[in-house]
Order: sequence, then structure tokens, then C-alpha cells
Amino acid sequence: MTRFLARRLLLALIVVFLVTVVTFVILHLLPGGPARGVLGVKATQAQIDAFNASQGFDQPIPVQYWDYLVRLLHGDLGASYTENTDVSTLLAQRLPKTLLLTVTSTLLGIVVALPLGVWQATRRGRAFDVVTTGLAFVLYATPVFFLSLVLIILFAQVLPIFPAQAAQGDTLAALLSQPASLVLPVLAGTGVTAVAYSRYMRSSTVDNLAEDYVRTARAKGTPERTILWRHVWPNSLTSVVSMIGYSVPVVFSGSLVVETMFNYPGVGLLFWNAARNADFPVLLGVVLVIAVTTVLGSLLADVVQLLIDPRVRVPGAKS
Amino acid sequence: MSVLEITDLRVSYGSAVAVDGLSVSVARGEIVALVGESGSGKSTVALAALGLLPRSAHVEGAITLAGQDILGATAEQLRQLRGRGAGMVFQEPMTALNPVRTIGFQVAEAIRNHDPKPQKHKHYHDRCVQLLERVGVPDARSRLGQYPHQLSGGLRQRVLIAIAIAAGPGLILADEPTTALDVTVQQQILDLLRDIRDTDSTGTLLITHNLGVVADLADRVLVLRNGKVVEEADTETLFASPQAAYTRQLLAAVPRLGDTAHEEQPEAERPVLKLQDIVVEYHGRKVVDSVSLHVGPGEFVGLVGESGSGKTTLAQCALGLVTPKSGAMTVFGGKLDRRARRRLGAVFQDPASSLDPTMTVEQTIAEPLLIHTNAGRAERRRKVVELMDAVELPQSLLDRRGHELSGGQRQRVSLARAVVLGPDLLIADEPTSALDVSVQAAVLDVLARLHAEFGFGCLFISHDLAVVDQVCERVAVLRAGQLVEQGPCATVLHTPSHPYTQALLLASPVPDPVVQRDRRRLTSA
Amino acid sequence: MTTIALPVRSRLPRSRLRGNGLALAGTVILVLVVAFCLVGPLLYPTDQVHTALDASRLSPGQQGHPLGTDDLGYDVLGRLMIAGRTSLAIGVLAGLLATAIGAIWGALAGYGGGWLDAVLMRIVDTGVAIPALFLLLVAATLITPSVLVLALVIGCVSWLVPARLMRAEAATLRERDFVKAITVMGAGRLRVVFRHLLPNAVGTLVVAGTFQIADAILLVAYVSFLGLGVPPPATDWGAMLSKGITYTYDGAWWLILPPGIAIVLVVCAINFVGDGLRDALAARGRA
Repeated sequence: MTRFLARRLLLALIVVFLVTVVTFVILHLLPGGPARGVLGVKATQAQIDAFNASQGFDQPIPVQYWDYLVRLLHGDLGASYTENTDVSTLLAQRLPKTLLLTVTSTLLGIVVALPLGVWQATRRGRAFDVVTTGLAFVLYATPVFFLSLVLIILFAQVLPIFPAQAAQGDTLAALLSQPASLVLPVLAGTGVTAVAYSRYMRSSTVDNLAEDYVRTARAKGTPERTILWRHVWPNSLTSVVSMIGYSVPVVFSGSLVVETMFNYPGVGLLFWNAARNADFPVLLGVVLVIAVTTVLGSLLADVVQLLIDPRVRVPGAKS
Repeated sequence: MSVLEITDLRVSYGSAVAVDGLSVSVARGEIVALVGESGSGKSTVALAALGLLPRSAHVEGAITLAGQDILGATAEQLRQLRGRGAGMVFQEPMTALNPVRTIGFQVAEAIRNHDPKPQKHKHYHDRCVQLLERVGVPDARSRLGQYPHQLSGGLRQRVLIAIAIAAGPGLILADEPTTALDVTVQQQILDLLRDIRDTDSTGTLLITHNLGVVADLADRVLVLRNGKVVEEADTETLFASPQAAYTRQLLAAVPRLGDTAHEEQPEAERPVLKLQDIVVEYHGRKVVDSVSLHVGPGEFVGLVGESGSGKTTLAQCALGLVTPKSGAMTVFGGKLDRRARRRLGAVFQDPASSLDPTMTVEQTIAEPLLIHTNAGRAERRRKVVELMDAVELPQSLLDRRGHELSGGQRQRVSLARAVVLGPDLLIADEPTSALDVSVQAAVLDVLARLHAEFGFGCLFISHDLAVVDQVCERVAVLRAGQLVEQGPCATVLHTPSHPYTQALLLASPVPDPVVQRDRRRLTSA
Repeated sequence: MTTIALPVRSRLPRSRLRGNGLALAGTVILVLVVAFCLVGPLLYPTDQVHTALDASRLSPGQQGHPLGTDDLGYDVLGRLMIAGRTSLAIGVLAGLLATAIGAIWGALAGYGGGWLDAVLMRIVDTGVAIPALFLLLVAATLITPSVLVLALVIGCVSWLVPARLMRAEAATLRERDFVKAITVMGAGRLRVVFRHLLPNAVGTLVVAGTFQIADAILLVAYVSFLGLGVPPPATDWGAMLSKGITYTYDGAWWLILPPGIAIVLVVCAINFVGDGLRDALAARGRA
């Protein structure tokens, strides 16, 4: 068991390492190079040259990369081109808000989608399944921004129940002080997660229902409902858990769009503004943070897998 | 008094008829066997008895189980009957248990399902331990908390039998209960089934394709073919004087030890395959432990063993698919390079994956020609036609693809592909183990004919001693990676010196009920 | 008619696809949409290059515009067709590119095994850790967008999923007896990969390709929506939506509903077809 964890941890570290290589490469491919990242867009060539020399950017690449890594480990992600702050400060401000949105959407998505997927599988081909699967298809095909638009139109304009914009403010508390303004963004985010999860749960359940152990359970007189919830569900769960852990990138992509639609002051909005202004240090800083979170997410999924799947937890016998 | 009464059962799926007018009855304390090859409909009968057929099946006739009519029963009536009226044991113990729930849970559930006042699972633990001990599971109490993947195949099958008898049914439906098990384990399970019959007077409907198992266990036998009953008799009569032509054909097709005469073979000068002190390790464990053997030119050498014996791994070494940790291997006196591979042919066990689904039969057999020769199209076709004749397949199959052929036909195409270049060494890894008995006999015939024509040496891996006796001149017996005994078939398989070989021989049931009864008397004495 | 999408359909027997009603519906929808975008402008020509500010933001029905006009006076219905060409073209190109790259990458990893597999798949893991949208936006700020460039960038960012699928497929196929038999008898790696692995993986690849096209269309829509797509006067559905939201508060629903519905319809239809193909494939595998 510890060997499994150790291997996973090692793999995670390698991936994070490779991501820093990617961001480093992009940083160096930029017009102007990393000097711009520190001095800003308006720097003159002379300033850049001086900077390069003083900072060691005329050093060979591996040395530069090492410096970059060291800086990263100290939490220095460079300075934003447009705002007058460090990237890390910006991220520290914004990340909790995005986490609030994504974690809530994920949890709600799980609560809605998992039982739904199971029900769909049991009524496969019948009216319930066709209707809900059809709806799920439509939702799956709907770009999040369109879904957000529809939500805004329906619930903020036609029926003015919820505000169309999230509360502004620098702290998490400011956001939470106006819970009504969180409803629509969370709903939009949940639209993304719930659909993906229920699709997967449905197909996993359908596959499991065809397995031999279900036939054994029937042959010993177990009622169908018990088969579903005490036999099939735990089996589907193990694969679904890993799927959830690996869905972090999708959830973040969704939140990027949701935040821009609802003017939600999180990392996604930060990223979009930075993209519009070609603010590379911010862009790359966000990419790095998201990548690390993704890796953490899959690692977490593996750990949960370890806890709930006895085949991984307990070593097998020689057959 | 009969626990199961089936009259004129007819099961069809659309236009395909699986069972056609079958009648059988099983009384308390009686073991009735349904014997047939694949497609005979025997499994369908067992599933029908418990109402476990899929919705797409159209069922006619009458089935009465423990006094209850099955075909007209409601879902709840069926549910109550399953486990209490009859318990079912399936073929694959590896997949028949839920991998994420404990043994204790799954056994307790079998009891709890029929408890009029169901309690928490803990309440049934003592009874579970009793049941597990009854079926011969050692350390029963500690097993309750274990998971299926922690148990061997034989133990899992015992657990499944425990589950089947948990609610005290009057009938056991056993669908190929020992087919997936090693021969020695199979013997134990058969003994267990017999013991249950003796002690509890449980009736058993035994479904199998193995005539040896039938001879060992059954009181009465029904022979099925294409969904119809071809012959019905008590066991001794059926084996001693079979009436139907099909029954006689089946019995004749079963390979028997001692049927083939073996000639004395001189020691080979230049072996085509020589393995010397081969050691293969996997995760620190010795899967093959210092095994040496050789195959002379034109000689058939058998490699037998149960699962975990290392025979497959050794074959993979010979094929170059696995690199041994230590030891020496020569093929045709040298290394296994491209030139050596030209003189090598291989046939494997699973007909379903032995042919590339995207290639026609002609392309499949011609491929080695494409790889190793410059033969033009016309010449390749000529060679392919020649091989099709040699393996006795009609030319009309040349344009067909794998999924259009039967298992036996696919194995023949495999053989054709393996010998198209006229090899000097053939490695055959359980080539007929997945085939029906009569198909196996035909394929082994083809193999013998090819041997006569091409004269290749062969390393023949199998778990079936009788087949090896029929096909090979020498044999090597493996156990847990070690070579236990090696020598001419006449000696090793008829007067074995090692106790393991003796145990193997005793455990392989022969299609002769008198012999089986004598063996039981011997072993229990 | 079905020139752009799914060369797929000619491979599988029609009968199996017909059994799946949703897939059939999807195919019909796709055919109609493609016709709408390709042939539509020929039957209903509108000026999509010159602005007509005096006729801007007309509601549907006014002055002979069935779907109204947008803020620059362009006819919305005509614009929908032109935008569709861009969205579909980029989507299909990118989808096919992603599948092709992924197939080769995955085949090498799955068949090669060992360290090659480990290295190639770690790279895939890294790519997966960075969401495509983010990479796209970074790339979009660096390049000058055009149909071809966008297709290239999206393809280069999306090949990860097909790579994983192909790798799993190749690893399974490698264990099949027919691969072992021919390898043992002397077949070289190239022959095994191109004659045995890839042809047997075609089904999986086709299904993967279908979903890739759908995802690519969505990605293009996102990128354009965020303002980084093809420059005007060219447009695609995402850009139409982006322009449109500025005016939703004024009630100009005809600026956002048509493109939104178009995207949903096409992506849905492609998903239906992909699911149908997958089912047909599974059935054929069992046969």
C-alpha cells in the first residue's frame, strides 16, 4: 500500500516538474522574454539588456531554469504587467474565491449526479432514462457561457430573483455576505460537473450490472434494490471517484467562463483580463497553480481509491 | 420425490432455438448430469430453472421447482425461490464474487435473504463460519473479513458452494463448476459435491462437457445436442453401452491415457530447442526455477502442470517473449534471431483472439510468407491453398474473416499460419484446451497429419495428461516452477515415480464410472 | 453533401447505425446544418463585409431580415451561415488533427511499453494538468488568428485524450494472440503497428475523432467568445455570441439565441452520432 502511494507521489512530482518546464519555456518564447515580466511592457531595449545582464538572463539556459525553480519555490511568480502587484499576491487574493465556486459546484454535482446516474442505468431505455439522458446530452453540448447567459436572462431579467453579477470585494467574507449573488454562478458551475459525472456514473453502472457477481447475487435471492445499492454502487463508486479527481481541469475551465460571465472576482476572471492585456506573468502563474491543483486532485483521487477499494488496500493471494 | 421437474422445455431467442423439447427430473439425493458440447443448450436449462434467463428469451413448457411453478411465478416468488428452493454454482469463481465486499457479507446475505425476520449481518456470523467449515474452507472465521481477491480459485468456488447451500435448498444447480479449476482442485470440489449429496440428500443438476467428471459424480446422464436430448440413461449403462451414435462419437473423441502406443526414441543429437537451467523471476518470486529440457528434431515433447506451475512462462521464454533471469537457451543451436524465427511457428490457446479480425483467412496464412520470403502473389496463393488442404478446410473460407469461423476452424487456420513456412519447431500453448471434445479430436488429428508431412519438433503445453499422452513422445511435469519429472510418456504417464505426478494422474477423471469408483475406494482407504 | 463531416459513415454497415434512432437523428441534423452553412449563402446572399450602421439592431422581420440585424447592420441569418462555416471548418480540422496526433502518440506508447510508454504518458499527464482553454488563451495572445492557425493550435492542445485512449487500446491489442503469434514468427515493429494495431483500433479512433470534433467546436466557441478568435469581418458562432451579450439587457434576443442554439444543436448531434458509432462498434466486437 505504501509502495502504491509512494509511486503516485513520485509521478505527481514529475508531472509538476514538467509543468514548470513548460511554463519556463513559454516564458522564454515570449516577445521580449522574461525581462518584460519584471520590467513591464514599456521597458526600453537598453533597460532590458541591463536587466538581463544583472539578473543573469545571459546565463546558459539550465542555470536560468534552476534560478526559476528556486524562485518558484520561494513563492515568487513574478510581477504583473498591468497591476502593480506580485502575481503571487494576486493569486492569494483570488484563489479562495475560485475554490469556493469550484468546490461547491463539484459537491453539488456529485450529490445530484451520482444517484441520477444510477437511476438512469436501472431504467435504461425507458422514458425516465431517455428524457434525462436527452437533457444531459443537451446540457453537455451547451457551452457554459451559453448556459450562464440563459440563467442570467431567466433568473435575473425575466424573473428578477437573483442578481446577475457576483458581489465584488477583495475578501471571501465580502462574497459570502451576499449569498444570493452566488446562486447563479454556482448553478452554472454545477451544470458542468453534474452532467459529466452523471454520464460517467450511468455507463459505469450499466457495465457493472452486466457483471457475473450480479448474477450470483440474483441467484441467491437478493432483491434488485439491494443488488443496486449494496453491490453495484460500491463498485461503480471506485471508478467514479477517480474520475472526479481527474476532472479538476474541466472544472477550472468551467469556472473561468462562469467568472467572466458573472464578473466573479476569482482566478478565472483574473486570467481573462490578463489574456486581454497580454499580461504573461499572471497567465503563467495561473497556469502553474491550476496545474498543481490538478495534480493534487488526481493524487487525492488515488488516495481515496486506496481507502475504498479493497483490491488496492489489501494485497491479494497467489492463485 | 423430485425437487426439479422439467417437461418439454423450449427456449428460443428470436429465431434461434437454444433448447428444444427437453424433459428431465431430479429427485432428492440424486445427481443428474446434462452433458453436451458448446451450443447444446445445457446452461440455458439451469438458468431457466431459476428464472434467470434474459428478457429476450421466449420460454415454453413447464418447470416445477420445489413444488412451485417457475414459468408462471411472480418476480417476488422467484426471488424467494432462488437460494431456498435451489442454489446455483457458476463456472467462473474469479468473477462470480463481488470484489469490493467481504466474504462474510456475501455469505451472510445468502442466509439473510431467506430469513423471515432479517437481522444485521453480524447476527449470521456464526452460521457463516459453520457453512464455510462445512465446505472445507480452512481458517473459516478469519475468512469472513477477507475479500475475494485474497482467496485462490478453489477456495472461491468453495465459498460459492457455501452460498448456494446457505438457505438449505433441496437442489443444487451446478453449471460447469470445476471447468475453470486445476485438476487436483477439481477433484476436491467434486468430492465436496458428493459429500453434500450424501449428508443432506440434496439433489444436484450437474452441467458439464467433461465426460470424466460425469463418470465420477453422476447417477444419471442426459446427453444433449443442439438443444435436444439425444440419450438418457444411468451412468454405468451410458458409458458401458451407449445407444445413440452421437454419444458413441463423443465417447470415442475423449483422449484416454494409454490409448496411444509409444515407440522408443533415440536421444537427439542436435536438439531444435534446448533450455538449460532457466530461471524466471517475477517480483522476487521464482516463477520458473532452474528448469532444463530439450526438444529433438521431429520430436513432440509435452509440458504439463497446473496453474502457477510456470509452464506458460517457460513457453514464453522459448518464444522470446520473456527474458529469463539466468540460464541458457538455444534454438536450432543458436540464438533466437530473425533467421531462427523463420523456422519457428506458434499456436496459442484462445481461438477468439488467435486471428486478426481485419484480415481474411488467406491474408492470415500468407503473412509469414510476406515477412520472410519474396514470394509473389500467385505463389503465396498456391502455398495457402496447399495449407488449407493440409488442415482440411474448404477453399471457400479463404475470403472469410475470423468472426465468421468456428473455434475449431480458427485453430486450424492458426496451425496453417504456424506451419506455412515449413518450420522445424512448433510451440503450441494449450492449442485445444478451449475447444469442445469432438473438435479437439479433429484438430489433434490435423496436427498429427501436419507433423507427418512437415516433420517439425514441437513443445506442446497442456494441463490435460491424456491429450499429451496421445500427442507426445516425451513429457515434462512442472510444479510451482520446478521440474518434477521428465521422461518418455510411456513411463511418466503410466508408471510415474514422483508422488505429484501420481496425484495428477489420479485426479484426472476418466470417462469410465467403474474406474472412478475404484479410485475413490483407493483414496478413501 | 456530407463532404466535411465523418468519412466514417461509409465504413460501417448502415443497418447497425439505423438501429440507433438518436444517431440517425444526429446524422440528419448534421447534414442539414452543413447544407445550411455551405449552400445557404448561395441561396440567400447577404453582405457580410460592409457594415450598414443605419440598419443596425433591427428585430426579426423588419426590412426583410428574418432574424434581424446586429449592431453593425449585418443580417443575422446570413451571418449565422458564414459563422457556421468557420466554426465547423475549425472544429473538423482541429478534431481530425488531434485524433491523428493522439493516435500515433498513443500507439507508440501502448505498443512500445516500458520506458517509452512511461515517458510519453508522463508528457500526456502534464498536458492534461494544464486545461486546454488556458493554454489556448495563452497561445491566442501570441499568434495572429486565422482559420488554419486556430485549427492547428486547438488540435495541438486537444490530442491528449485520444492519446490516452489509443494507448489503452494498443496495450490491450498487444496482448492478443494474433499479435503474439506474428511477432514470434518474426514480424517487425512497424508491421505490427501499422498492419495489426492501427487497423484494429480504427473503431475506437473513429469514435474518438467524432467526439474530438465536437469538443473542438466548443473550444473555438469559447476562444472566440472571449474575444480571441478570428478577426472581423470574419466571424464564428462564438464571436457572434460575444458581440450579442452586450445587448441582451436591451432585449435583443436574436443576437444570442441563434448562434447559441446552433452550437448546442451541432455539438449535440455529433455526440449522438458518436454514441451510436460506439454502440455499433461494441456490437460488432461481440458478433
